[in-house]
Amino acid sequence: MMPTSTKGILGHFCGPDEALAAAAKVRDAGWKHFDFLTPFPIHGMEEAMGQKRSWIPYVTALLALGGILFAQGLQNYVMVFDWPMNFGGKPHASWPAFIPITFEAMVFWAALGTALVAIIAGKKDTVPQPPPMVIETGATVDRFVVWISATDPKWNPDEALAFLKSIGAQGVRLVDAEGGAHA
Amino acid sequence: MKRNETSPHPEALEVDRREFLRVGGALAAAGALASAGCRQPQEATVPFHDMSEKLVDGQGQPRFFASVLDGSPVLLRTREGRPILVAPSPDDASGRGTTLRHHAALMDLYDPDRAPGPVWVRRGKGAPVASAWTVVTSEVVPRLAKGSAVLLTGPVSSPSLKAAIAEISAKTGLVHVAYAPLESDAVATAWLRAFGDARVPRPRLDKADLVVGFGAEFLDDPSDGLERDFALRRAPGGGAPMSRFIQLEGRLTLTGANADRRIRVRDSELASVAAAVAHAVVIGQRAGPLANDAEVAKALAPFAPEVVAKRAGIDPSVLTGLAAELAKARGRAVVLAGGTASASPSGETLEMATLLLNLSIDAFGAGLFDEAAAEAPRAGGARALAALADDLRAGKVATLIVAGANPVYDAPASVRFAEALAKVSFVVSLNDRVDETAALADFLAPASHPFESWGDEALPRGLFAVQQPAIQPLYDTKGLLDLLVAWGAAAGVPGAVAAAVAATAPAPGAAPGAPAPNPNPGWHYLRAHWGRTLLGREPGTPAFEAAWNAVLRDGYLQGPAPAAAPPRRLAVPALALLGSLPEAPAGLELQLYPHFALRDGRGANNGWLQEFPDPVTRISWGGAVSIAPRRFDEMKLANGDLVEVKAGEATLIAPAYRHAGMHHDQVAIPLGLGRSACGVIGNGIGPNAFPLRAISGGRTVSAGIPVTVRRVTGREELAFAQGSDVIDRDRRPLVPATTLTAFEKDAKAGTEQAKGGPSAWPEHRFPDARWAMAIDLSKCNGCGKCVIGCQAENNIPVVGRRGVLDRREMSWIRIDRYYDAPKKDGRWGAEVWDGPLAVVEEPQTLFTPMLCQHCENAPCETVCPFVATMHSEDGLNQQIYNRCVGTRYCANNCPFKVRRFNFWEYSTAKTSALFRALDRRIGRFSDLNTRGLMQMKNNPEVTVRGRGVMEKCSFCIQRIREARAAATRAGRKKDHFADGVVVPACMEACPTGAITFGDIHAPGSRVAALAAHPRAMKLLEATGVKPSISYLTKVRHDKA
Amino acid sequence: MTRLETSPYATVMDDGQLTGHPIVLAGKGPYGGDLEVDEPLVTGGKTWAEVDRDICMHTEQFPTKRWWMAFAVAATALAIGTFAMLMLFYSGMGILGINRPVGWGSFIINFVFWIGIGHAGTLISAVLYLFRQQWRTGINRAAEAMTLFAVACAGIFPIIHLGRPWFAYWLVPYPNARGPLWVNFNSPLAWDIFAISTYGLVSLAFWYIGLLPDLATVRDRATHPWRKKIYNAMSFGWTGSHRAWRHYESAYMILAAFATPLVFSVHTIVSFDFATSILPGWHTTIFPPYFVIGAIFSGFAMVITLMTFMRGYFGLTNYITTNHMEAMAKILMLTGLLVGFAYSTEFFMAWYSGSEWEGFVFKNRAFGPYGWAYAIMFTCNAIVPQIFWWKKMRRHAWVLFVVSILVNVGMWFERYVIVVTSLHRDFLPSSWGMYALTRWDYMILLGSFGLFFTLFLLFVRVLPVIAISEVKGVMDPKVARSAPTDAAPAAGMRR
Repeated sequence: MMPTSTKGILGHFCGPDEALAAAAKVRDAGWKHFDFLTPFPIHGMEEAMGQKRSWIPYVTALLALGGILFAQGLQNYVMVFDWPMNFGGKPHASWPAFIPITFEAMVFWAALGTALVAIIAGKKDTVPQPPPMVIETGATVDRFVVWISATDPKWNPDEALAFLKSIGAQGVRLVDAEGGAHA
Repeated sequence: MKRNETSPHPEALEVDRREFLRVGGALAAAGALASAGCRQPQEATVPFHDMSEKLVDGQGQPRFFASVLDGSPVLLRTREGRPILVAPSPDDASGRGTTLRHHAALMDLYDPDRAPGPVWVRRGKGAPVASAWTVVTSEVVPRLAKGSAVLLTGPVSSPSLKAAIAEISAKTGLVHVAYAPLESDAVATAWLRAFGDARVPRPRLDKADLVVGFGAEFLDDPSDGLERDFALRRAPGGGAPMSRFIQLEGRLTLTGANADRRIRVRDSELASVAAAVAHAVVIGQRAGPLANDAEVAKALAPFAPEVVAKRAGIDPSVLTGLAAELAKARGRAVVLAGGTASASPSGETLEMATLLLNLSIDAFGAGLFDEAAAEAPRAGGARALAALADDLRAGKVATLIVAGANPVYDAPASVRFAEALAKVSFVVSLNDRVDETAALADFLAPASHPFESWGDEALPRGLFAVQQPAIQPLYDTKGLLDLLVAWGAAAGVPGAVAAAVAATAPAPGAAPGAPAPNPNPGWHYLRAHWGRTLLGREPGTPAFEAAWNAVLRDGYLQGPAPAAAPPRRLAVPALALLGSLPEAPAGLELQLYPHFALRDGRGANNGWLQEFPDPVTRISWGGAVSIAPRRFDEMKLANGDLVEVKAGEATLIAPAYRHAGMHHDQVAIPLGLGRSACGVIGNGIGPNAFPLRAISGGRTVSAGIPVTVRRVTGREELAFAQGSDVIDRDRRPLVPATTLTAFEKDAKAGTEQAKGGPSAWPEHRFPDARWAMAIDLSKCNGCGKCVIGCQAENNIPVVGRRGVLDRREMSWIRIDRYYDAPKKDGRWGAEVWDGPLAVVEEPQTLFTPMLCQHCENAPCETVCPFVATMHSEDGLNQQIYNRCVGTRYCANNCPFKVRRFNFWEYSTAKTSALFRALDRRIGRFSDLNTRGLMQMKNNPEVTVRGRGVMEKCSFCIQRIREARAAATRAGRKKDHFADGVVVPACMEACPTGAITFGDIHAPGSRVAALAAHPRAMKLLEATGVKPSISYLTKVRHDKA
Repeated sequence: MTRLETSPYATVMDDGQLTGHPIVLAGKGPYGGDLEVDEPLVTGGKTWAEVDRDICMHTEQFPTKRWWMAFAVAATALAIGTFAMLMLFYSGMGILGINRPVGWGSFIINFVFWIGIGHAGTLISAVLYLFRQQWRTGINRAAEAMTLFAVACAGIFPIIHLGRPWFAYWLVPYPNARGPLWVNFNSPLAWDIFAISTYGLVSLAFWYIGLLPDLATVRDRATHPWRKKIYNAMSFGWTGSHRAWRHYESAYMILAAFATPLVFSVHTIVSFDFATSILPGWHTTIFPPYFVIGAIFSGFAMVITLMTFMRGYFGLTNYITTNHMEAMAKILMLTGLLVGFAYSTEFFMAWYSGSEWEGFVFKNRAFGPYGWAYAIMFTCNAIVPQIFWWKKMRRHAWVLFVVSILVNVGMWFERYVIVVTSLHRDFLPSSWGMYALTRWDYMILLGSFGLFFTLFLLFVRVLPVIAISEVKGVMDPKVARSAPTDAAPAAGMRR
């Protein structure tokens, strides 16, 4: 009989290839709330984990558009409507002069916005993580950690334990809220 | 801040706000008093805050006063009682012009180095101590009464002053000696001997088709106003045909630079050459009334053109050709001399030969001399000075009163004046500061500036002008006339002098509370003298007062016509002046010419004049030994290398300058520099060449002095106000210029330049007024009065020698001087610093007044990110100082480089010793611009710019807006302005009418006509900036 | 962040053994032919764990004496420059060498110089990333840091070169109580403000995003709780979750895609400061590409200089290998050729345009009073780098170091030539003049180097100088993996 406070289970692999293969197995076994914690991104992991492509690019496109509109709006408002002045005999709306700032504003909005959104998304878009006390520090060194959360619909400690072992994960163990780990 | 070491009361120069208001109030009152019809006693001054009804209209409005400043009528512009601008009198019937010194006189008036009051100088033994007028008077008067006193002055032309001196001399035996360092008596001698009358009539250059100058300098010294008449005939396509001007000279002067043809002749040969030309005219051409005069023929015999030409190293045909031209132009030509060359030992020969030429071409008969405007030339008085020095040494003089003379500085070394001065028991100086001479005196009794005191002046054509003050004395000083009259009366001189002093006392039995009489005896004496001699009425009578006020209003009075000139018939004995052909001069000779701006050095403490670059050498803040280019190169010199000039026993070490157009065997040094006691600004600037002069035949000799020049170690950088000298107009068509021949073929000749492409955008429209300027380069002679006028009007700071060396001049308008590279020279390299030797041996000089062109497509406006410069609706390129943050991008992008940047805070002193030690350039500027009362010269209509701000010519926008406001007040339309409604300072100062400014859209506007003129050219068309300033071609009269 | 497709033949080499050529395995090809395998990017047979140790070590131990000495020198230079700047603010531009014809002097030269330096970092991280240049991983972190510090140095000069620097904020178009009086958007200087600030901030974001996983690494190695807290906060609590990696990679790719045109745009806009003026010598259409190439050129030179130091000082030769240096040397040589081409093109155009003004300016540039500056520029930039045609030279540390210094000297003089020679003799000969730096100019130039190196030395103390997670990605797992063990590694605290 397992303690109810169990948060989930984790084990690790020593190489990206094993992790990649394992990910596919976990996915095919029908687990949903699982994750892989790795020191560096592994090519093809999205597919292996059964995830879709990131939606970040769409956000970026919107931001870029916003930047363009902002720059054009500001420059035309200032130079043509708010206080038109005669600079060197040039027309008030001298559009070629507005291009550089338009471009820069586009990059500014898009790039900074993207960076911000990506960080937030990275925090939000995730399954319940193992409690911080027990995360293997190896996950930022050379371990490729697999984690299945207790919130998974088909959660069953024994099954999970057996499953992870079966796919060759090392150091498999259950984790509870207090961080105690027991095999 | 460096203090004026000669001032015993330095702190007296400090002005805090209250003090300023008090003085300002006083000035306002003075202004009102000097204005016509004001009866307030002069000592009643009114503080600003409770100003009397009469003065309220004086606030915020300029008041103008007609006055006269050493010999020239001027118009004083005052604000709140402060003179802020000196302009030439608009209706100057005398024909007298103004010089740079007149325009810069404000700097003399507000000069903080003036003595703040009487000083006990103690003959230079021990530090000067402040004294009081009572003390000075008590010291002077008894000695004056005792007699054997001498009054040493500069040239005196004030009738009332002359009269006063005469009266005093009559009673006390005061001896009056006048000495003018720059004047040579050669002219006077020649005319006196020739016609028995020393008065010289005024040449009518406006009537002459041909002008020949033998070292003439009427443009270098325009005090006789010839430049205006000259310019009337210099622009082709006008009414009268263009005149041709041929100049023979050794040093390239401004006059020579304006000549159509220039022939290099060293000063010592000039006389013989002039005589040779006369020979060729009279004997060769057999032309003129003297043709058959045996005496003349005999006198001219030694000067056969072939002989003289060979000696002078020129082709004889040049002389005979010149003679032929003169003969052809008989009755339409005039010959001039009288420049520095006339101060050479052979000066009288030169003048005599010139006279013969004028006679033989009927210059007198044909009315090319204005006899009505004949005047006696100013006396040089070298002989008198030498005699005085001897008397002093002999102890014959007990008391010496020096007024407006500075012999210790400017007397020839041979006079040894300083040493002679030591023999006098009592010396008092009436100069305005403890100068070189006053430093050896017992007392300094400072005289007021002409703007502070009453006086008068006799002008040509029988005109008389009153010198009326526009401001009360800024310091504890007295007018020269006041002083002499007061002292005279105290010394017991009866008559008018005594009466004048008596008039200052309240009339016996005057009603209590009645206004006290004017305390200035000079004022009473002046009025009495005018009453006697000119107005024919007693002062005080209504008729007199009416006439007097009329004189003050108009500035001058038409007096009785001067005595008729004698018939211009040559007195045969005068021919002796020609003498025989002198020995051919060997080796180098020296010319000592007056500094263009400083003249005899009296105004050496004037920052505007010191900073004004010589129009030919472009050197400011100092002078140099001008050496002919080829010799200069042979000596392996570079500009600024020190050379030692040895004339007799006198030697001088000064930097060398490669002077284009200088005669190979001649060197030249400017006079008027190297003052040692004129003040913080002028002390030790440049070399003092006065000691190099000699006295011979009772005349000071400034030219033809044999010298040796050798290089010595060391350098002294010359502060050039210009980068490169030579311009190849084929490659850089920046100055429209052509010859008369070409012009007559095609009126557009000389304006050729690459055209720009089409505009990428629609042009802005200027529906109403649009301001523009046209500058006629044929009329402009490069005198630079516009520069000083602009500097005064627009509060432009002085940057000092260091500033010019750093290329940080601030003047908004400058006169570019170029030497035109010959057409054949197409090689790249024609534009290097000195230019090819061929160019500078005999240069074609071009002058271009360069100021902001107010381009329609101004490149400066586009690049300023701060919106600190943009275009106004009436076509002005505006600079907004308080928006300017100083990227200097506009200046980089200005193709004319007319934008000026405030690299320093020119108006405040950086006093931190630490920082000044770190960089010695810090903190000098307040000495030059804002010490003491200096800022009182500022025009309140113009912002004083702070550090880090860009500035430039504004077309005197303050005057434009003033006109606009006036139109608004009067309810007139503001869309167009007639000519003359707005006159910028440069145009106002220009004596030749070269500058025309106006609303180019106004119907019938002159500037519009000039802009459309075939001679008009707008610079750098290819860049598409579209300047608003049109330059009219400089046409050279090349048709013999 | 794709991994190198590793060959089945693990190669373990030392830096010394690297040849710069692929390893040829005879008969190992798929059809029995030869097989070429690239030399490893990380040498010394490092494991992933060793990577962490080697790189994080320097942020964990007390600074060495050599570091302190370097820091002292840099800080002194910075102090001198700061003092000169105070002097400038106190007394005004007068203490500098600028004058009327030459309104822009050392400050604008330094500005363009530093901006140029600041181009290599983002170029390496963005452009090489898009081109899948794996070797960039060894140097991109330090290069990006260098970019930021260079931009910081550059950013100072446009402000202090103002006559009234305390009003610099007027250049920001914000609604104000002065009208509102905005800015003139026609002016290239207004464009600069946007370009520089955008470039600075985007580079910062790009750099920081790259830092996140490594900050987590430092955190997990940390022993002191505060150190853990700080680095955890800095890494936004990075766990290495692949659901985060997914967005991370996508964002990183996008940032690279934006940063690439940005790199080119920034120096293009800087070149507009000159190109849009009407001054002969400035008014040329070649300037944008010319400036960009020059910037990359000088940037890489500075990277080489710094890397030569770093790999020596911190024993990173296994991560920044001779192959890395050679790759950079190749880029240096290529860009060197390009700037040389640009120089000659300018002269051709000056002649071909038939414009008197243009022609004179360029003759004056090469043979006028500033011919010496032009000579330095041309020699250092167009000729010296050609030494890298020889592989031996490309792989020789000292040659690389000396050449990179020379190139930066040359690039400083390129800006000197462009700014000064065009201004000092323009349209009106009457306004011609000369320009010379005063001691204050030199002090402030020195100060900017002081600032640059001070910041860089602080950087190497507190942050991983090499992108750990990226390097791990390009290592051969067969070599780098840890021994499989069933024992659960020690659980470490994260808060």
